[in-house]
Amino acid sequence: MIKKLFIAASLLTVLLPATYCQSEQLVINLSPGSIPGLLTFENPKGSIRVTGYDGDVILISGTLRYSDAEIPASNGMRRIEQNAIDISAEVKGNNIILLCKTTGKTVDFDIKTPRNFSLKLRSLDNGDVEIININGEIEVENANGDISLENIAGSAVLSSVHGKISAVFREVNTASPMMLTSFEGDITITLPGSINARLKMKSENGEILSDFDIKPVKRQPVVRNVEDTRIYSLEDWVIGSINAGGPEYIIRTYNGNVYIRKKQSL
Amino acid sequence: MLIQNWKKRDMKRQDLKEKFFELIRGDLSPEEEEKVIKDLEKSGISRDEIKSLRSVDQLIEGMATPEPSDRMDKRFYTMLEDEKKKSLLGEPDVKVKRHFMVNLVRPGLRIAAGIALFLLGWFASGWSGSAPGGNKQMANLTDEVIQLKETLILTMIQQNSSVERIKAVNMVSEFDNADSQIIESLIGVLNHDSNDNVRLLALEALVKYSSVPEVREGLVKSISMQTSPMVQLRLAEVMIALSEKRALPEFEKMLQDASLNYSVRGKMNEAVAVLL
Amino acid sequence: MMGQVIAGEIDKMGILYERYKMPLYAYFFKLTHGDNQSSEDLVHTVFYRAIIYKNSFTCKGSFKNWLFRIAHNTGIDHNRKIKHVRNYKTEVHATHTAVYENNELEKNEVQIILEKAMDMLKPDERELLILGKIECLKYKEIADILGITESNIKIRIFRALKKLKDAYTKLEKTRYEKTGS
Repeated sequence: MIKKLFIAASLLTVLLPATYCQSEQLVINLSPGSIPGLLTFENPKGSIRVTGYDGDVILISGTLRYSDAEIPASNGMRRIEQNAIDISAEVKGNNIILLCKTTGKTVDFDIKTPRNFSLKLRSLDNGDVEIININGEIEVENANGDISLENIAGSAVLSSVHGKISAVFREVNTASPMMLTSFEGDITITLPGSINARLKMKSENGEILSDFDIKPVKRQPVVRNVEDTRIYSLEDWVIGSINAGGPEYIIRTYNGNVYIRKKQSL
Repeated sequence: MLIQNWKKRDMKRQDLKEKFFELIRGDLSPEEEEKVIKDLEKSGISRDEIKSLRSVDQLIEGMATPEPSDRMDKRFYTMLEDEKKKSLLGEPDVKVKRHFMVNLVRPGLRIAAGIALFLLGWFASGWSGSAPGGNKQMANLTDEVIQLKETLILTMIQQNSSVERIKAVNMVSEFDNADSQIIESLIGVLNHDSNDNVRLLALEALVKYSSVPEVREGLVKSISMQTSPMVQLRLAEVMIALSEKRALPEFEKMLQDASLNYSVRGKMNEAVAVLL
Repeated sequence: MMGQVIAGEIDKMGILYERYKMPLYAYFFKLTHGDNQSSEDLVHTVFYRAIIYKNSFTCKGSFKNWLFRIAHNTGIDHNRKIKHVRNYKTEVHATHTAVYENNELEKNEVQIILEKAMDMLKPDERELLILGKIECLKYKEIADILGITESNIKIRIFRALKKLKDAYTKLEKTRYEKTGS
């Protein structure tokens, strides 16, 4: 039951003297059995923004960030943009895989999905990943850029190499562990005040701050056997519980601070 | 010509087998049955043989199975409720439907089943050590439960969802000793998982078993397979902590890559200095 | 239908449970030589795994086959576990055959011989014969469940049936020789 939808929708080109941008769009109709589903997408170069809404259609729009068309060609000829963006999608049950070939150009994607959806996103370069109003399991890997989650119900597994991570949860999935790691950048996670979780945090070159009442547990000794030597050291994580404790949230950054914030009720 | 004959003969054999199954299914009319039996006789299966095969087949059909007890339904529906509760995203208005069967069972059995389900659920929810004395609980469990848990882990580790794979790796950390199958899958995760966070977690889990030779070998070999700075860095830290000299050539190889992350380079240089 | 289950409506698994619990129970009951307790446990394990591994069901192929595949694997795990226990049982069984037979007055004699004959088959042969008798499974589906071609399935079932018949005939003869009737 694999449906391959190839780009054929609308080609929007706005011809204006000052700005000339090329964007492509794709519309995916979902059957009721496909919601909630999983959307998987990797953008080789550029940003990804996903917004949840009340509908049963996935709307994808990819826009070239920079365009060559502004560079005038010689001899009074106008440059005609060739198809720089190639978007296609495979729908297998409730697994939707978006594929994008951009021949090295930076393309920013704006995607609208039904609110109840899980996401598996990756940006390899040059862009932020932004997710808003989603209920589901979220997985993001970003090499160069920030990750921002807003008004989420569910769980998150996020990693960024160079970039900040910010995740604001309206609700959390009570049985799911989470993992937020960044090499270079602050990590801020905002959680409802009533949740139960166990935090395992570490920042090599930064601080850990929170307005939750987290009582760190006493550091456990760790014993390792290396040939005929026994090495004793102390657990190098900061471990503490929010309320009654629960699934483990691992939050780790190398160069940056960790902020664990309590969600303010409006 | 010879091969064609073989093929013909095989196909004929195939057809006869098909006919045989139609025969025992009782799909054929008396005339058709007789024809099939004659064909089978021609191919060397006697009428008596066919008769006895049919009767044995019917005996298998007649093997009586009793009804299962009420407990089976009750266990299932209790588990269903638990799973549903776990997957709810905390919406306050959702009412969990109780199947009418649940109320019919004696309370004693309910408690026993509940405890069994709780243990299984405890494993599956990946709560690593949130209860005090978590490891002590592990030691009291029977081999069967440990076996079930291992099978569970090995399957969960192949799931599409990173959360499931994280749960699987967390479950492994609850074992005091991991057998080679588990260690192999952890190393597989460390080297091949699509998600860097999951790789990082597998690394932490493996460090716990660093006294096992296979683990140390696996960690050394893993150095050249990592591209995420966080994993690379952590691996270097681990090698320093373990004084694993075999890692030295691996780090030297990595340091020749000009695109290596600056901080990772620093740590690997440190490793080289320490391990020399 | 499975798509809806993946959609988080775990409730629907209840309907699927009602549909397949009896064939699965019968399957395990025959596989475990009439062990009621284990059969119930195994049915439960199958549905538990179905719920938590529901993400691995890709809508390619039927849910029934997927469920029976889990059952097949669960059965193998179970056999592996109790292998050493069974070896012991068989030994005890052999030396007390006479006592065993005389005590089984309730059970149909034919059933007893059949069960012993089934016992003499290899586990995968026995399983094939049991699967072949599950009403809701066609040979094509069994092939999909076990990952073999349909014609292969039929050949194997035929051979297993023949082996069973030979074992049954031999046991029947021995029995009558013993009782002298």
